[in-house]
Amino acid sequence: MDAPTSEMRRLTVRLRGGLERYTSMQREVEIWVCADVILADIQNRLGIPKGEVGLFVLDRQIVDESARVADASIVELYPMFGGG
Amino acid sequence: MPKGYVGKILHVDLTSQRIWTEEPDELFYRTYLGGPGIGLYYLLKEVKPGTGPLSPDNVLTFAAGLLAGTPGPAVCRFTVSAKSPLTGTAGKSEAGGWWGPELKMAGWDAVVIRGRASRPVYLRIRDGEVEIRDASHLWGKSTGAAQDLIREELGSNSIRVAQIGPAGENLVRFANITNELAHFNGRNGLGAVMGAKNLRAIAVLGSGKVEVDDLQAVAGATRWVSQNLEGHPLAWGLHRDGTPAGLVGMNSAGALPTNNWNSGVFDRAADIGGSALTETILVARKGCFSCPVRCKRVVQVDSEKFQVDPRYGGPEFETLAALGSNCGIGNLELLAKANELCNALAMDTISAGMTISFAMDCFEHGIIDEADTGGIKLTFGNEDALLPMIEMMARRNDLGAVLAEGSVRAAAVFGQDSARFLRHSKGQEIPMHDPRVKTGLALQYALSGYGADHWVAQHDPLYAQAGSPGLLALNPIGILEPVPPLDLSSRKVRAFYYSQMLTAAYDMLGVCVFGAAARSILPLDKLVGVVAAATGWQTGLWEIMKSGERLTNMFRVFNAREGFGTEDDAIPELFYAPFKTGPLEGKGAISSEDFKGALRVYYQMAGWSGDIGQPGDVKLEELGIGWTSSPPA
Repeated sequence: MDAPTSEMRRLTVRLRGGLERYTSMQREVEIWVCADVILADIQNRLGIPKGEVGLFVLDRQIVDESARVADASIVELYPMFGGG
Repeated sequence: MPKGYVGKILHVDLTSQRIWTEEPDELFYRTYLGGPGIGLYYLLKEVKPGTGPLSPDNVLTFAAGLLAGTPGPAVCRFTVSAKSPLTGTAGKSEAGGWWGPELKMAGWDAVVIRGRASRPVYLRIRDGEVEIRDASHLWGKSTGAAQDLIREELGSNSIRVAQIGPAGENLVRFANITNELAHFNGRNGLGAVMGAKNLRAIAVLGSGKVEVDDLQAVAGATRWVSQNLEGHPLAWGLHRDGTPAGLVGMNSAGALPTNNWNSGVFDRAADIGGSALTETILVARKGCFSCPVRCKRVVQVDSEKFQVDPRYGGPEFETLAALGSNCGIGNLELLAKANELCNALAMDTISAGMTISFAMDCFEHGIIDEADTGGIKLTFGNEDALLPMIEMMARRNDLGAVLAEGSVRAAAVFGQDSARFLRHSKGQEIPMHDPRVKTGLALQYALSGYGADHWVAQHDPLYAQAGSPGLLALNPIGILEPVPPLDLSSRKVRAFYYSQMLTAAYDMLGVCVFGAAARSILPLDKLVGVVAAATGWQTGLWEIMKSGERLTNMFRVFNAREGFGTEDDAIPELFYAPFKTGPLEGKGAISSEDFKGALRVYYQMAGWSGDIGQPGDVKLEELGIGWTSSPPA
């Protein structure tokens, strides 16, 4: 985990629908990231394979993987879903 | 000697009790493969335009997929086809489980049923023997009780029973067909067609095996899936969490059908989602014949209020949403009970939930009242209403007799402005996927040849991200670039059209969408390898895709005979308006102009006449089905 600096941002990441297996079954983790990261970077950092996240929600707005975070953002990641 | 398939089709006329065998040549199988390909062949050959779906003249076909019964991975499915009493279109519905493979092990690729028995009967098929048996003692019984009785009198607990329940007997237009009590030919009301023929069940036991050309290669593909399952995020997710895993995400997107689609946000979604199910009532994970994915849920409840029998499996996402959020109900134990009840009565949970939610909307707006409902306060979220409403529909009691006709016909009875609460395409209630967050679903609903359905093609998010497993898996059919979920340009239509061909071919082959690309693990090169290794055919993806295109055109031709045209390629008005609540409030409305434009593009890509949306004689000849242009006289 990166050591926090004044240029870094603190995020809350919530993992749902089984994605918590990438965070030792923790459904909510707090991470520090550089100011310029996008959600795809966060997904990569958490070790979630590309394509497994089907829905990115950033501060209650649906976004895509290229969205940038703000300090104290809440990121929610949901698995790919293709019908049932 | 045929490889991969048996080469025999069983024909039964229930009116005359005549039973005979047809042995089509290899060209037949190579053209129609299996499943709905065989079903549509007989519909187009024999069912005259205007035939009543519940008349003896409707032709009901149970056809295993081409690969069913081989040891290939996730290729076990079979299809029931007939003219649908719900939509009036050609109808078809797939199921997994064991029944399809068992039929082939008993020596048949398909069973084609005509006529109507004079009293309730069931078919017993044991290897080459076929017998029409009395089913009077089964009539009115739950599916569980009937399966027990059939197994007891035939002396085998291994016998596979495909059957209707009381809903099918009572001709509920969304009655389904179950096998093993927990696998369903769910949609299109084909259980009512069985009921109209006085056919309660088809019980099958086979001791043979399906010959394949290269057993090592076919079985090797299954081993490969088993060995790589855990490393494939989508397939492993299906195994671990099943389809309910998507429910909470849909809610967060603001797109979980809630209160008859009047909202996309349900405040109790977490109570009925995949995690809640896994942590509270899940007792086992099960699967189908020769499928390593094992995505089926088994639940059990033994509380003060509810007891739920695990024999009936567990609710899928569609059920949890249709009977749950869509009716405003967030009690997981109640939903497990409602699922069990629908399964014991053999009634489609999607149409059941959607028809109840339609009635709830009518009740909330004063179109019907407690005098109509027999005192039931039919408001969204009323937990006390759910189980009685399911029983009333299946038994056709009181208001249930109206609702058993499906929501569209019920609206015609209710009158006033109740039609504004309908959500259907071609008369079939829409499943639980909002096209305002994935526009390909609008194309699926509108262009499906059998009413609104959510597995006409691959879902948009699967090919929306560059480098994702879903997109990479679809590269072999020419989907090379990501297409955003909300795109409705020709790029989306093209991706839809190509994946529609693939998905239709899956149905013909017996491939489960939860086992193969793009939703799951089996890549297309390996699938083609399984087809070749099973049959010994020198074949490829081109031939397989063209088979899917052929099937799509067969539906179109049948439906044109029945009077369906471009005006029926429609989606509910609801989707032309933005979301009213949640994170997408004020957003998401599909442009009517864009959608109609996309339909025109589709017709042209499909080679259909742009103004009438129909394949011409030349297109049908190109697909090798020129004969379909002449309906039976």
